[in-house]
Amino acid sequence: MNNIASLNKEKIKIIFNHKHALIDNKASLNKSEKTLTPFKKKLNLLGAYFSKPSNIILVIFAIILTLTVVIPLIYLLLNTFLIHTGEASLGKIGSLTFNHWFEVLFKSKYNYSISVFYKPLLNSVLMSIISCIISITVGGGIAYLITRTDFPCKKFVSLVFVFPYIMPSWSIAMFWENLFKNSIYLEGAKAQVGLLQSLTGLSVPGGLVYGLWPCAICLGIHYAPFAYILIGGILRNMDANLEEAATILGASRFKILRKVTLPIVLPALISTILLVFASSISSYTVPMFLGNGFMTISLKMKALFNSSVLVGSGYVVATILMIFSVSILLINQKVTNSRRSFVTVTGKSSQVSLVKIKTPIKVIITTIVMFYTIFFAIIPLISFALESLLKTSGDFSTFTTYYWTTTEQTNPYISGSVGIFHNKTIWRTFLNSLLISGACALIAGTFGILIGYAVAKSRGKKLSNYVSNMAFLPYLIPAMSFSTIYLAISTSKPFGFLYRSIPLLIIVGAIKFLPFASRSGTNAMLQLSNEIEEASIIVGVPWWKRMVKILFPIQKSSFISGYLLPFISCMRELSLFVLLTSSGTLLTAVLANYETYDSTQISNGINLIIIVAVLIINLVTNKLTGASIDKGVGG
Amino acid sequence: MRILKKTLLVSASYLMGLAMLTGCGQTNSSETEKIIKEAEKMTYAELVERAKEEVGDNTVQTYGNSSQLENALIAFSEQTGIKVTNTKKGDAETYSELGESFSGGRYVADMVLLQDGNKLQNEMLSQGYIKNFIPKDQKANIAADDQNPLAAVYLNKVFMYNNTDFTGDNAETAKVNAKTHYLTNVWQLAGTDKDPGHIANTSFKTPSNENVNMNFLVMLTSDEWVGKLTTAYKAYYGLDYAKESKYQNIGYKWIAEFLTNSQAHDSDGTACKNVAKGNGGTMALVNLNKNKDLKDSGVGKESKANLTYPAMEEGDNLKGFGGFCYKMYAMVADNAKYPYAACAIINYLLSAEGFGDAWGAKDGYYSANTTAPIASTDKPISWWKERLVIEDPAYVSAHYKDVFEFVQQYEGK
Repeated sequence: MNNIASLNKEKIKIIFNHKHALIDNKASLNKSEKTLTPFKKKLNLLGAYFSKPSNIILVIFAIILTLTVVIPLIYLLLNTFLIHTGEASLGKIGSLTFNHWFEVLFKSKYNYSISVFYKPLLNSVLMSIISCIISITVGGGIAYLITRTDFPCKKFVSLVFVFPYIMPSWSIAMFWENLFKNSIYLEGAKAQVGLLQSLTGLSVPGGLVYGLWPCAICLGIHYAPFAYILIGGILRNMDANLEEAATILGASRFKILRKVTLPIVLPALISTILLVFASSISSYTVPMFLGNGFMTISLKMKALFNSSVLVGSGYVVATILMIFSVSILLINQKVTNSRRSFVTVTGKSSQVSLVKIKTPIKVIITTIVMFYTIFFAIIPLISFALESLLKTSGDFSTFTTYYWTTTEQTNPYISGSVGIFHNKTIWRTFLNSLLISGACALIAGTFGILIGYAVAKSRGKKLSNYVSNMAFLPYLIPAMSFSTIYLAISTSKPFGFLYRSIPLLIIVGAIKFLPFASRSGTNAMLQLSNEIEEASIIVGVPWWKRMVKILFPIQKSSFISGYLLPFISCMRELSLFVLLTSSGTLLTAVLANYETYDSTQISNGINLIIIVAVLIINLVTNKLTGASIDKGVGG
Repeated sequence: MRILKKTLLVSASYLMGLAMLTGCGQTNSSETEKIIKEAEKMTYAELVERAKEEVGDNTVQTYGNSSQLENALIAFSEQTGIKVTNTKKGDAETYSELGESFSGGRYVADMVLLQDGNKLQNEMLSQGYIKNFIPKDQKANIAADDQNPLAAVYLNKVFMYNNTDFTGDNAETAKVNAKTHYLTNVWQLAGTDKDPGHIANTSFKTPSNENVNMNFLVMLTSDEWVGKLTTAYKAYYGLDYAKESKYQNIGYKWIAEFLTNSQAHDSDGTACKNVAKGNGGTMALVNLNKNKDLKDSGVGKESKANLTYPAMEEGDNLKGFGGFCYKMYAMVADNAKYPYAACAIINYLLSAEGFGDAWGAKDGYYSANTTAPIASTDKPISWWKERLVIEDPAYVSAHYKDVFEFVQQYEGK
């Protein structure tokens, strides 16, 4: 105790001396300022401003993000007022029109506005609300169990629970369809025997196989790990002293949860709701697989873009979706900004006393959690593996390794479609995907750390808010619109060198997935107490050394995790890259090709390769650095 | 706010500058057209010779959303020694990429093989990005309405149904060809279940996701198909069609009722398999070529024998139509680097040999060259032209918007 007291005295002395020195400097500066010309004064101010590394970073990123994010946004908006190539009936191509906005919002002929906008929007909002409820309940619940209770199998659950987030959302939708389709409640060509019916004879109503509910549930399952990551991150790093104090004061566990834990988690909770909502509302593949006529706003947007004659309406819907998402972002910002302090890494003790769950309840909860985790995280992987080993889908008597080992052409419509082990295209594109994803993650992750540092140091300032928001905006721009503008730029003469180039893919991927890294970086930096850096400033440690030797090592696991999320997203991404690359560059494009030509065995095999590769990289990173996906956003 | 305004202004001027820069990259289109005129007088051998001189050691670029095209290009390269690289993407991506590149004046392709008459007309032909070439060697064997724009290959989507009493569990109980006269009038697929012989839940790929399906619906509103639908209506209901104010013509009525009755699928291949292993009477409108994944003989799961295609039945059993045909058009890019080579490839694709190398032995593919042989199990294109709705790019592009907007109210719940 004496040692701590003397150390504190020493620290106070250093800070006191430092502040005195600063006051002296300021006084002498004021004197000399009076003798300076206005230009020199401005120059001095500028010099003082740029003497802070955080300000230099902010200015650089303000420029980069304006060029790479704001321009696509303006492009999007501008296109809502232009007559496009297929819309010559409206007037001269390239001229201005308000027709697109009018048609989407007010056109009554054929109930057009209702059919293409209001009804799909309502459906999407409903679907997103349900998926939010599911992901928060499941993800938040598991996060609480793992961080705050004596729940067993923590390591297993925390490792496996994030699998559905690694998988592309449509693969969960595919799994859902294969599991629940049945010949009892479904009609026409959809009346097929699924896994559940063939194993148990049980069937679920059609509304649980296709439509609103299955879409919302699959999205909920996909984003539950996201909720777990965000809420778990806050719970894990929460100052345990608050709960300890409440316990000492005699508060019940329920009261502590209600009065202490929940208010602290609330910003993360609302943040999660808003982010899951924004992701769900723009989801395309899940309603495409399981919609069966259930029309969402993203499906309509794609249909309008695809129509050639109503592209302008497509841009209007995309812009409204953007405005919707930006509003969500602003609400999110308001909520998170209202929290006074993010600091959780203070160097103080944070030993958490875990809630002890009573045995019978513990058994029930453990059974449910293990069932859920295995069912939605492990079984889909097994099903992908099995599907790649069955000659006839669903028929286990046709087990074969043919689609992995053969040197024969497996599909007459795809040249070089030999078995996966011998398929040069698959392995070449796999390597490409790894390299491109790695490069994207490296850039996005590093940018994320720098942005996080600058935003945390200049919190509340206009430029800081601008950079922070701009870094998050790509999350909300539909991938298709985002890649279209980059295609337009790369086909223009000044930027022609970028056309179909790997650097273009890396730039687009890095910017699109920057939000994960910047959020992770900002959260990690906000958790760091300023005193840690101040101490090193006092002893004259230069900025780069402070970053590399002090800040990075402290939050190492969060930062490295911040590299992993863009990597995963890149590995499973297709729609963002498809316009910008030739057909045989990325593994996801090859997967889509096999899917198109109904080579389900090979497409399932490729899906499995992607997921397993990501899992291995996650595990290796975890073993080497202690970082993992589940620490990515929450810090 | 002032900062926002400034940012918008700066960005807008950047974009305008970009647009100006990209707009002035057009190459001289007349040059390509002149070459095409010359090439139309040349035989295949002459074209190849000229193409070899033109290309040298370089590589010809093509765009085509067909894996079979790649087979034909490999054979062409082996035969001529001219190197060719094909870019294969989805329809929407292909048109976006070509549109952006051509409008930016960037050379990306010499020859394109495109489907979707609406987009072809609206986004390519009307902009002058691609030019028509009719090969001299094959001109006499190509129907006049297939010559401009030049159709290289026809594909068809036909109504098919499960003809068994197969319940899914016991293959022994299946009865082959038990219901040959199941679909005799297209109005069975519309109307309500009170109508005699009504067929519900026809599986159909959502037209908003599958442009050729939308093009088929658009064609139904044309005078030709309005006439045929009116005749079929009378044959089915025994009454003349009385015009209804909510429909512009009987074509719109059929579309509305068909979409209300049908169910959506996202893959024709899966739908075809599902019909083959589904319950007796299950109906779908899918590509005939999707039967490639079915077993050739015997009765059981996913067997070809479980399917009947009403439009293939002998005689005039079916009133209306048995599905639709769409085309893949082969054209020369206006800013092609190797236009002679592009013409040589098109000539090859239209030849019996070229078609055979790529599509010949498979059901559901037909060359516009009527002398090119097709799969022995299939019917010739002349058969299908009599029984199916044929895509006409000019009509489709002129009426696409109205039908697309009309369809939206019946697509989705």
